[in-house]
Parts: sequence; structure tokens; C-alpha cells
Amino acid sequence: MRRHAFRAMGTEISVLLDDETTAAAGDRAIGAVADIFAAEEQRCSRFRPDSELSMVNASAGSTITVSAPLADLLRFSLRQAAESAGLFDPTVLGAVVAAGYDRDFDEVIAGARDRLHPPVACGRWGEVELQGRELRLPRGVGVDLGGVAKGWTVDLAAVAAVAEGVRWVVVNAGGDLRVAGDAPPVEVAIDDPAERGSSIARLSVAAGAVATSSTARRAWGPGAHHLIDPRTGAPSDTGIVQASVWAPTCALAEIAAKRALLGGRLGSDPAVVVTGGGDVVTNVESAEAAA
Amino acid sequence: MTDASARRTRLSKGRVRAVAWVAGGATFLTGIGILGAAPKPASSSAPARESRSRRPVVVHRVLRRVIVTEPAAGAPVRVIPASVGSGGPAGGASSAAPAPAPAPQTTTGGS
Repeated sequence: MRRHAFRAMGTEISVLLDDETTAAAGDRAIGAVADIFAAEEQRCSRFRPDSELSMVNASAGSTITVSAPLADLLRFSLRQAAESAGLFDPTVLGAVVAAGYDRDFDEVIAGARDRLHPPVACGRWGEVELQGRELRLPRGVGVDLGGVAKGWTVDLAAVAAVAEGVRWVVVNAGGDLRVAGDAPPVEVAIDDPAERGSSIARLSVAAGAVATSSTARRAWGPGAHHLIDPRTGAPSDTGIVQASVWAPTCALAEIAAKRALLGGRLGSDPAVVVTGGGDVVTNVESAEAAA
Repeated sequence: MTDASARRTRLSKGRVRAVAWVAGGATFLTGIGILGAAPKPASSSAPARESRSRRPVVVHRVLRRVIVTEPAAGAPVRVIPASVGSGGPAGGASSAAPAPAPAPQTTTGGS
């Protein structure tokens, strides 16, 4: 099995490939994954002033033309916002910044940042206008595609890697992962939010994607973390501290994990959640029971 | 029955009084005996406190409670039981069969 890792989007990206693939195909696949992450980070990062997303946010109040890939991602995000009745909200940028996450996370930690401002109201996703590639954000509204952009990029990268001739691939961006191609069951250990380095459960994933949302990660103080509850505009406090969800694609898994965590309950998607009291709740069938 | 025979069976006042005293005393002593034999509650005496304070501290490992709800059907995902070792499915292969390739492993935990 071939393994390759690099950093992008503020996290570690790991690529697992089958070992029957030729070295040349493996190299091409890894190159394609790295290129896609570089391109999507440049498109979707809110920390790069020259990213396309930064230009979109700076143009709030006027209509601009965006690239086709960003239009696709925005359309997907707005549709998910509607389907979740706003529990997933791509317009939480103001609230995330107010909560203290106003720069690359390494710098947030270095600055031991506290909350910057009182909670900011969210829920203006319904006012975003997107027709084809023509986009208009309401004045004062910013888009944050953090997690969903990562999941979206994982999907693009996994599909591209298989197209380069590898039999199967696992692309994992800081815990948001996609299994693509003719893969054997992949063993996925779910981290314990209370204890780094140990796991609460292991999943066997034959296809599709798993994503995890956790209040224990990208946290910079008690009750200060990056998962904003759009209903309050403040970091979530729903009784669930971590949610790992399976879905056919990584972008969908990412949204489903956020919905489970912010909704404070296990939904219909296969999931493993950890409550604030430390209980592990799951609706995923055991491999033993299924045998 | 004649008056004479009734007079013969009737006890004197003194004897009745003596029998009453004996019966009462026996009842009293029985009660004391029962109380003496009954287990006593722990007293707050110094030796008992010492023995309690010397009791070793026992640390219980708190295990996570795992709650399994109605399984979500149809998805190609399973929880691997804790009894199955890391690196692939447990057991089942004969010595003649080649060992199965270890399962690809990765982690998820939010980022």
C-alpha cells in the first residue's frame, strides 16, 4: 500500500493507494490530488486575500461573475442550507470571525485568542442570489466554505486519482475522507474527542465517505470553537461534542456531520456521535451483527 | 366440683406473686440477651476511623457507555467490534491459506 501526505487547507492531507498500481500511475494520482487541493485552496480560502472567495466577500452588495467551480460549490451549499432549514449555513463568516476565528488557525492558537465580539446573527443564506455564475451577496454578509470546501475538494481529488489509473484510493483531509475505486474495506478509527491519540470506535468503510465534526478541534478556549450554531451565532453547545457521519460523498458527509452536531441528535444517516457526558451513540450496524 | 376440691387447686397469693416475678424476670433477661446478640452498628471509635483512613484508594477505570440505536440500513459501513484486532478481519483463515492483506487504515476526528 502506498501512502503520501502533504499539508493544504490548514490540515494534513493523506493519500492511500493500492500497491498493485504502477508507480507512474500512482505518481500521476498523487500529483492530481495535490494540484486539486492547491487550486481549491486558492479558490475557497477566506484567509488568502487574493482568493476568489475573498474577492466575493469583498464584493458583497454588488453582482459579480464567479468561476464555474465556485458557482457549483455555492449552489451545492445553498441547496444544503435550504434542506437543513439553515442548520448548515454558508453565511456564518461574520459569526465565526466574531467568535475569534479571524485568521489561519495556527495564528489563532498562537495568539491565545478569546471571543472578539458578541455573537453575530446568521441565517442570511436565503438572501444570496446565484443565477448561473452571477452572484450577489447581501451587503454585510460573508461566505465561509471552510468544511464543505474541504469535503468538496476531497471528492474532486479522489475521483481524479482514480481517473489517473489507480485501482482504488483513500483521500483524507484532516479526517474528512473518501474511498473511491475498487477498494477493500478501509478501517477508519474515530478519534476520542477527550483524549488525543486514542479512538472511541473503528468503522469498516467499503465505499463512500466519512466526515467528522468536533468541538474539540479548532478550539481556542472553553466554549470557543469553530462550529457556529446559526441559530445563536455563537459556538455550538448542543450536548453533542463530536459527530462522525457516513455519506456517499465527502461534501455530503461533512454537511451531515455538522447537522448532527448542531442539531444535537443522531439523524437517519449512519453516524457515531459522542455526547458531552462521554457516551458514544451510534446507529451503525456492527460487523458482527451483519455477518 | 366441690368447694373442697376447688380450694385444693387454687394457689396462694404469695405463690402467684412469686410465679409472676419469675416470668417477668425471665422475659426481661431474654430481651437483654437478644439485644446483646444483635449485630452492632459501626461505632465512631478511634480505631475504626484509623482503619477506614488506611483503606487503599481503588481507582475504577470508567468505560464509555456505548448506546446502539436502530441501525441505519443500506450503507457500506460497519462498526468493527472491539474484539476484532486492528489491521484486518479476525481469525477464520486456515494455516494453508495465505493471510489476508491488512485493511487500509486511516483516522477521522474532525479538523
